[in-house]
Amino acid sequence: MEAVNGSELRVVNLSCGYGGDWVFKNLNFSVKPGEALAITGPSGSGKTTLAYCLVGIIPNKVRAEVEGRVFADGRDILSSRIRENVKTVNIILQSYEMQIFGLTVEEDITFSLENLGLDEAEIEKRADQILETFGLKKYRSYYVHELSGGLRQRLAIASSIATAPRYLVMDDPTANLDWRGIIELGRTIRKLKAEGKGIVVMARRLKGLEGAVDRVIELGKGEKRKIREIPEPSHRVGSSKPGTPEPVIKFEDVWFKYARDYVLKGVSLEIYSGESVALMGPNGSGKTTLAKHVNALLKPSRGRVVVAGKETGKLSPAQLARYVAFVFQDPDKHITSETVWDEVAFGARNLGLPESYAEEALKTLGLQARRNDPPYFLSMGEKIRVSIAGALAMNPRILVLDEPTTGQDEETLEVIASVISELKARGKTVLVITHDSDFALKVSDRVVALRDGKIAADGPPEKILLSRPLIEVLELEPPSRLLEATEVTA
Amino acid sequence: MSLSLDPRTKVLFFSSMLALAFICRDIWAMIALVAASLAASLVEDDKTMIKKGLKTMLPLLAVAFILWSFMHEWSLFQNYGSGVDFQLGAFMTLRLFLILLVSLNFVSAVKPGELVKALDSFRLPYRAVFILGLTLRHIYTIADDYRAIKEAQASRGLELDKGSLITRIRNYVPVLIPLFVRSIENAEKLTLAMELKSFTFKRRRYFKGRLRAIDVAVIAALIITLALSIMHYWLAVI
Repeated sequence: MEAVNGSELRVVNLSCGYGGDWVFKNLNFSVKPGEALAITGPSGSGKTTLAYCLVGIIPNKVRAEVEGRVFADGRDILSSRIRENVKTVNIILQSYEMQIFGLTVEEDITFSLENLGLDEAEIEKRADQILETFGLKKYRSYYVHELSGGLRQRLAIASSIATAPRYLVMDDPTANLDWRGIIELGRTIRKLKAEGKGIVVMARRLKGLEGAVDRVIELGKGEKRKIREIPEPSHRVGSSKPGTPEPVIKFEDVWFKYARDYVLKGVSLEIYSGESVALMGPNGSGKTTLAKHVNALLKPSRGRVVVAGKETGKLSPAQLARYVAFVFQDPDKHITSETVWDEVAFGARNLGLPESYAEEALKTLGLQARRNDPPYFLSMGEKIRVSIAGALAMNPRILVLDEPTTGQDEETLEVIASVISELKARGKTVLVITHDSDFALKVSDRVVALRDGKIAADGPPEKILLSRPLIEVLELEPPSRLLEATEVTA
Repeated sequence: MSLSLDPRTKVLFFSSMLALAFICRDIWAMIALVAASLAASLVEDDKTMIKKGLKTMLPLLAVAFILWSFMHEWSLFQNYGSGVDFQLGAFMTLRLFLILLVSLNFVSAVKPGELVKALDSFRLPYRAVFILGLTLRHIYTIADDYRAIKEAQASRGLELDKGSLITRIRNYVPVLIPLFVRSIENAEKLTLAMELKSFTFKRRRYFKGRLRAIDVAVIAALIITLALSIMHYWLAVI
């Protein structure tokens, strides 16, 4: 056996699986303090399983078959309790919101420090230091729900760091972040490295984090020295011409507010049959709010929305389900059935459609083998595919996809792109909310960019997404093509 | 309260107002208490919840006024005599209004975290206080899950609010069962998150807040008012 007492997080011949099926076998790698390692891999390749093994959640909390060892500064993680492990190696979970206990930023940091048994003066001193380091000082009295997604994630990282671990594992930290959030995360990782922390980042893609990570391991394909490039779109899908002169979705000066402030401010928009529209914009710009008006989940405070010739103000979402299918952003919250098949067939059954539609959708999304599995055991990528299959089974005229690229690998993105292409060819309308500019360039005929509840840009994807000034003003993620062009110029 | 009082002062203020609603027995005292509570709600940053709550309760107040004015002789609690008594009707309606106003003010002004901190600083057992805090925090999560499941089911053609009462109850089964399962999953995630924070009931919690002059003044005024009311209404010494 190799030496395991040095200062490093070391994985030795690690294999892990569930119910006799190995998710990964014989993994070997190490991370030193001050170093950041990225682990990428397709959906279902075991990134979360590996993250759980690195902290001891597997086998302590989640039952799985494990072989091999994990050592953090000599501590045998797999045979120690989580409570003890987190002093050396801690984790930011994929659903990191559950890790935030405090009502305010300061309360949450203090909660972690109190658990260490420090006295009041020491807690105050360390809380100040942590708030300063993570740039949270001005937010110290903010309520957590007042923070943006990026800031909330930074708080989760700051609270975990408060327990003073040497190594930090981040499970898919970029999943729900906009471009600004990803850049902030990269800065945080660099800062943690400078403080001598060892970082392991599990992610579907590393765009925006390239400068922060030192090495990349692709699960199942061995260690690589170079960051894998996201392939260029090989072809444009579909036509850019509207199918009919009459819009299938029409927003007329729509204003909407949840409580005090307006989230949508006078949105007017027309979308036609056969169009694929990418709805883009930073977190909190009103994308999901706008999309929820399409199937009447939300009704305008002012103005009107007309979908398939019907004003949504007078209809329920269930009535509009015959025309509009909605794939929600967080499948964990929206998947409700006991098996994959029941979940996919749920909408079709409600609408009285034949089950052959659900069979077809299951096949299209490559989920036949998982037909009888409980959705709970699927990876995030597979869950999104289940949600899309459920929507397709309803044979809608309009498909709304809210962040379908979250947690997906290139192969699944290809499947989703071909689904969109197929729908467009059949004259259906697709509205995709996404931060992923490469995906938007690939699948959309038109980009509508929102900023602060207003339409800030509306036009062909190439004109908006390949224009550096527009990308910066709209705070959108630059596509790989644009980043490469910058590198060449540099 | 935008006067930014200490949470302990807020908890004491609202508990004292509720106690006074039952101690005071004349209409002028009740008017003074309602005025004080209205003043407290006026300094509130967000009055939406208070306004909405009172609007919903208006019919209830009207019914209370009619019942207490005309039908008080059948009261189960006390003998108020017979005949029409508008003063009693007004007094009881004001008392009910005060209780509703104080409760709405309390929910609006005291955030769950503040309540937990205040109870903790009163030296109540930390285990009980922490569990109360977790429960209050979990209410938001459950509400969020309920909304998400309802949206998912409605978007897939499930009509929730149509048909007879029995049909409607049956329609909600596909919402409530996943909600129950989700709550168990969330509880599991929560225990994991607690372990990741090395949580233990044995550690001492620190309450950072310090009572300022305004807090001391409010608490002193409350103590004096309570003492005078008890001496006047219960002990009849003043």
